[in-house]
Amino acid sequence: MRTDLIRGHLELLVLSVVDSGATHGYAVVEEIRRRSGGEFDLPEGTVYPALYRLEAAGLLASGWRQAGARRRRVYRLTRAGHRALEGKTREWSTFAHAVSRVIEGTA
Amino acid sequence: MIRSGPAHAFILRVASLARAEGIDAERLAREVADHLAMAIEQHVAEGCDAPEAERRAIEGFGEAETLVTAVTCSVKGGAMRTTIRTAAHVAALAGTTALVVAHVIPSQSVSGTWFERTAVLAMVVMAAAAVALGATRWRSSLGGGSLETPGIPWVAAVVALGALAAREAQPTDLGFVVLQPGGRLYLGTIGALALLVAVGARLARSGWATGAGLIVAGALSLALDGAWSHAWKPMGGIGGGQANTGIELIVAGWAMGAASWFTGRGGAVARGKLGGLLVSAGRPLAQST
Repeated sequence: MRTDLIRGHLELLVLSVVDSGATHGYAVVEEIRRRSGGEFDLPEGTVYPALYRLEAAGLLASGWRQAGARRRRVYRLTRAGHRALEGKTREWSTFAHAVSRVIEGTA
Repeated sequence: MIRSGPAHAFILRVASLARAEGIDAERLAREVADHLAMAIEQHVAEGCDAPEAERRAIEGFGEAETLVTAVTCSVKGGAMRTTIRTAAHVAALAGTTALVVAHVIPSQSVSGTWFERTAVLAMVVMAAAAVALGATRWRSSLGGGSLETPGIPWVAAVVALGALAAREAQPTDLGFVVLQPGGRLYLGTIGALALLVAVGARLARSGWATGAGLIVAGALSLALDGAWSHAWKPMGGIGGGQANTGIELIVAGWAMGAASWFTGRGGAVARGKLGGLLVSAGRPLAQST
């Protein structure tokens, strides 16, 4: 799938994945790839600007967590993030449904 | 752990670019290193040899320049917000300077003079600048705090500090003790409340909120001048020696804010330049000895 199509919805995808539990950048990329059945195969670094942007907007919070010998930056949804995810999901459903109806010619 | 090879060079490149952009290079480099290490492990598990796994991990990650540019825009909020912040800081500093000058120069009451008008105008400029700065920074700084409502202790301490500072011209009877204007107990209480502002900022995990809190408390005390003696006259104490605590809180707030900026992410470039200057200055000395 074209990268620019995915980028427009990356924040919603990231919020959805992080909503499943506190997680780190690599796991977010892998989970997006897994849930999309391999269709969403972005350059992996693309997810970090989205994570930083969402954190700057107060929708995600992050902190270091020890994982074996490594320190790992882990992200979780804030209360505002939960609200934003609900709103974006609703918007996406309405949009996707409307596009389908237009394409299929149903009224 | 990646200690050498192309992945290590990639991480160093990310850190170097991030430092040049003035963002948190250590954090970003650590995250990229962790990411690449896991990607390499994954490729090895899928049957690649180590060099091929490393090559694929870097290729799959994308370009270092693209990453750092995009993260910088995300962290700093883009050029527009940076411009607004700079303009707001300049306006707020100009307002503070005008307040201090209007307070220090005359030694008599300023009621009805141009000093008073200057003080009111300076406060309006400061308030507008504070709103602009707050709009661009509040959510990003406090949204990730440890509390769901991280601003409440901070706001309470700021309001208490501003209210007490506005009473510097009259005794404050707390029931069990009377705080005399300028007395040790009064000044100690002011100091304790300022400390609570810092604690509130710490709870919100915000470096800048201590300085901002002192500035807001100082401004509040100037705005509340005379309110406790039923002779409310905002800015009325300016120039008459009745606004020292408020002015001092504002100036101290700026100093705290500058220190917070210099020691935080935003001051990374300034620290680097200062370090370079010190090294340059020290080199001739080292050579001469």
